[in-house]
Amino acid sequence: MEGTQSSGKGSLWSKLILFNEIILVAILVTISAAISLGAPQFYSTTNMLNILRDSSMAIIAGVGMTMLIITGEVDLSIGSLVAFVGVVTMDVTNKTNSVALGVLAGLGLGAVTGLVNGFVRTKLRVNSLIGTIAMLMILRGGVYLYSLAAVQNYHQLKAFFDIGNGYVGFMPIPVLVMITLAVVFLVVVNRTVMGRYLYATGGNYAAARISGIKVDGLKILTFVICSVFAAISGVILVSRMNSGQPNAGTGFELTVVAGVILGGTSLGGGEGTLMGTLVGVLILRIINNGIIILGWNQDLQIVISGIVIIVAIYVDNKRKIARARIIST
Amino acid sequence: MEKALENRRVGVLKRIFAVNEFGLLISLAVIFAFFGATSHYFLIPRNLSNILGQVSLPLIAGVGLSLLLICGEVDISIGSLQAVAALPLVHALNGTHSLALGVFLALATGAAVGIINGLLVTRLKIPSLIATLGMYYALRGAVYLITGKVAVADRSGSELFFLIGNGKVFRFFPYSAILMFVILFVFMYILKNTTYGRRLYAVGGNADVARSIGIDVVKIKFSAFVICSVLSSVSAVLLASRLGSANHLAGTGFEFQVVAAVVLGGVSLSGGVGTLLGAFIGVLILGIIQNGLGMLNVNTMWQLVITGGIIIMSVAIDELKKRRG
Amino acid sequence: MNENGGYVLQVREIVKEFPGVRALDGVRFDLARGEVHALVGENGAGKSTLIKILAGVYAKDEGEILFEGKPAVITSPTDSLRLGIKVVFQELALIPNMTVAENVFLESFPLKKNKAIDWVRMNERTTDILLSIGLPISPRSKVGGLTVSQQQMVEIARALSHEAKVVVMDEPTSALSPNEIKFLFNVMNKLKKLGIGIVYVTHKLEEVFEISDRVTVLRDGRLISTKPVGETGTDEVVRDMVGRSITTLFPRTHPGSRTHAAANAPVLQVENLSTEKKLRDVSLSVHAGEVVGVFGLLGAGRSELAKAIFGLDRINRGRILIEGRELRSGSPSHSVKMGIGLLTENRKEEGLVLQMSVSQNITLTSIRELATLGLINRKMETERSREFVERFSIKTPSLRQKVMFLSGGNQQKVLLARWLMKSLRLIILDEPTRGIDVGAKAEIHKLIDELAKEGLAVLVMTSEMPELLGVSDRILVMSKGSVTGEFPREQTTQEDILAAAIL
Repeated sequence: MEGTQSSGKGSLWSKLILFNEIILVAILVTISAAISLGAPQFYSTTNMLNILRDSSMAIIAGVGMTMLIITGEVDLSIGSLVAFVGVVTMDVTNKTNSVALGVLAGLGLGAVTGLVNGFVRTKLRVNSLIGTIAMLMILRGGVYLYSLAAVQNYHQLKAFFDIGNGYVGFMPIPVLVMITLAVVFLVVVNRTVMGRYLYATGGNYAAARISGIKVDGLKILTFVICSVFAAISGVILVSRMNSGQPNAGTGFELTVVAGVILGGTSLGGGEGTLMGTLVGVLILRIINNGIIILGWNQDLQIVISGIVIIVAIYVDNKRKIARARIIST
Repeated sequence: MEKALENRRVGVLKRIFAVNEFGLLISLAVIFAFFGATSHYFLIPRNLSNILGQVSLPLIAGVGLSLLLICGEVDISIGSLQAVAALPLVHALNGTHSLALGVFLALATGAAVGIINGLLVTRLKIPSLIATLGMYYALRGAVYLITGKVAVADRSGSELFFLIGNGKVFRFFPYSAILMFVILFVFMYILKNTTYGRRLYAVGGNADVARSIGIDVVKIKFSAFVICSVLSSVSAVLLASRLGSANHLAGTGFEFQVVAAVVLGGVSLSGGVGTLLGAFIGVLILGIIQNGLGMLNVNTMWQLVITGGIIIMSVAIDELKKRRG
Repeated sequence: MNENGGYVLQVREIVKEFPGVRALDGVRFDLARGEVHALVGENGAGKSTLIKILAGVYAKDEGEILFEGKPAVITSPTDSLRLGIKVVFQELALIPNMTVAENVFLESFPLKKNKAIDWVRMNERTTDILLSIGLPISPRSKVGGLTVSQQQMVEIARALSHEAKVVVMDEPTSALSPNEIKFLFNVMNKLKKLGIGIVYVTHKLEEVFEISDRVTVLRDGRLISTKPVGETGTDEVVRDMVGRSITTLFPRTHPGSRTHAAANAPVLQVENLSTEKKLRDVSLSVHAGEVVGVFGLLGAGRSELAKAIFGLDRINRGRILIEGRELRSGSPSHSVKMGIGLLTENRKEEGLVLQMSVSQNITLTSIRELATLGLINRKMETERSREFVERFSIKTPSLRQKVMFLSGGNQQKVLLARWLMKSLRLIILDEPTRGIDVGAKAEIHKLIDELAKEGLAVLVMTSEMPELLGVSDRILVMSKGSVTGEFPREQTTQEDILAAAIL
């Protein structure tokens, strides 16, 4: 009788995965400690709150991106989308004097982008990496066509300002939104039928399809979720910057994707956790914040993000190879 | 025996109507005619000469990229390389007034980046799309850092430096276009008539089969990465000559332009398929569209949108071709 | 006889082990010059391991290989090629987008003095070689556009271009028409006259007796017999292959309790089904409580039929009726709703989600029913999973174990359990016991029997004769995309079935 891979190996693996998240938290703590050595103001409550609030945008987008990457796809257009959403939201709010309409327009743009990305992937069969890079170009060109200059705040509505800068009690509104969406993610992904379908589609598209799951529809839905979440962070951003800037968000997609992958979500699909994304994105945001506080050149952010993505994929690859070795025996 | 002869005759006819290039040539002719008809300034010699000059940059880089695509890999960092390779060039010019040293350093930078890319993909087994995506950001960020986002102007006053990017023969043929044709023909020969060239196709067509034949897949892919980057740095030198400086924004969007152009020309993203002739026509088509749109006063931002659309379209068609077998 | 006695290849006491199984256990094998030596055995007997060692894909653990009397070291495909051994696998080692001539000379292109490729000489030499084996195609045609038979010839041409001394053919005729097979045999005779030794691996015993000089039987990694073809017969070879009489291996179905099933209205009716790539005008029906076995050689279209009936592939013509209602093609989710299940032949690529747990895999298709308003009822999920794990005797340390750690047999049971958790009307099983050891095989056959008794309509695709005869009530035979024969289980012999399969 062929031996089942004994539980010995099984628990070794679960140890390794748990290990992964402990490692991440350890990295987080180490980097924070290092930075505060160079710049003691790092550990102040104000700075911590700032970090949390600044990270909320990346984390919100990261939550949506995690869902998408679990299904085995990726979306690199969110940076340009954030800019476009900001411009459109500010412009519509200006023209209609209604924050609700402005936000709706911005989210609507996100939804449409997601639909197109999903369509390009499932019906035209274009690899999502390339397809969303093309979308990145289309949106970036598009936002400049919509408005060459930054769209200033002419409406001066308080509700608009509050989105990014207001508080509910002691909690900044962006952080509240972030927590809400994170909870939604946790419930949907871990406890619902849809969550199960997400993991199955990413883990084995063919098997999921044969099991009767509507895989293409699911992917399109997930693209839309990712874009809408990115649009939400775009609305928060434009509120904080107080103007819709067409050049915003450059490199944003990189921080988000790098953070998600760093957090253990595999680009191959079929795995990903909220905790991982959270810590991964936070690590990158803290690095960015540290660079600013230490007075280093801000362009280091892009360089570091690029290197992090390479390292994260390399580590991800090694884990995949180790896993494949177990499957084949 | 008869059947063999018959096949040979059919082969000649088939070669003329070879789907890829023939269809492309038709498209090229149509687009050319369209712009010629709709704009007064399109067909004048000065504009045609400009077009030749404009396409020489993406084509030189495109030759290198095509070689890489044919063997099954990709490099999307070539745009950032345009900025990076220009730095040692201009600094050398300003410091030593030696164009030769500057060009050498620029090419060496290209080679170094190509080596790094090659190592990331063949040694660390990182998929080339992601590895070069990371380099795309890392290199661009490095340029921002080094230059402080301020262009480094060429203060050497070197006439030769100006000429390589801007000079023309008989007031019509840009030097850069001559270089472009030389590179194109050299590599067309290499691809078609050398063992190395055929092995590129074999590796891209089926790397496992190639390996089982004893072909050193790693060496081939590695060399293709280096060639791609070196040729891209040639294009960077020409660009710097035209800008008169090493600009931190140089090459933004370049990589996607070149990918779109060669894929349009029939070089498949999945490897093993495509010719440099097709790549040439693809670059020409894209270049003429850009030039023509400019003549018609269409916004540059539209070009970005259109290029994105063309990428999606060409990849979708590529996928369709794959599915039809 | 002198030292190597005219043997070009001698293999002695070869041992090859993989984790958990001894694939080759002291095998001896000789190949003489100009001989066709057939190598036969059941799945898992060790044939493909042996030829992979000859090809340099695997390295032997023990034993020695003598080539033309001299010890040979084969550690890579290049070694094997350099010696003069050419293995033609089923997945042909060709580059589809390159021409015939390029593929023939892929290892080393003929060069001119200036190191450029000598296209003229390459094309001419290719034409010569192709003519010598009687294949009149242009050396400039792209290999991707050739038929399988022609592609095989290109591989043989490549062997000739290297003056190979040994050619190994692995199941070469599974995708060929009778004419193409005749052509292949002609070519093999030409190779024989050139003194080339041929190892011929096949399942088709009639070919063994038609074309080969000697036949070697392997079973469970051991050499059972090597005999000249003239001194033995099919029955003896089959007995050597199987080692026991077929009838006692598989559970007897109970014909009495199932014959009346045919009287009911059919659950599945297929009418004139044709697909773009393979199927031609297929019609069949399966009734509740009936097990219909579909046999065919490789390339016959069994898997295509399974996928088409399930709705995975688009249909060109014809219709599929489930209990009288027409099935929409191209929509697996619709097929599942109509009560059809499909167990594909690649359980890892198309069946299991390897990173998910046993219970998650089992409940994948029915998870909706275990949830209220979208929220999964964990307790119900665990209870139902446990139910099925026990009923199917799935060996796993816990329900939460990731299925990638289970053995092949248990993985297959997980897939069966998944489908049966849904109340199905029809289940299609494509090669349900492929790559599974004998014990688990028997368990799965028993399960199939039980399913039929419970009233399910069962369609089983298989390429293993004993399995076919053991589990089916009715047997359909396919060849080249059409149904070429229908037999009741009683009084049908292997020969009848094979005869229909090679039509």
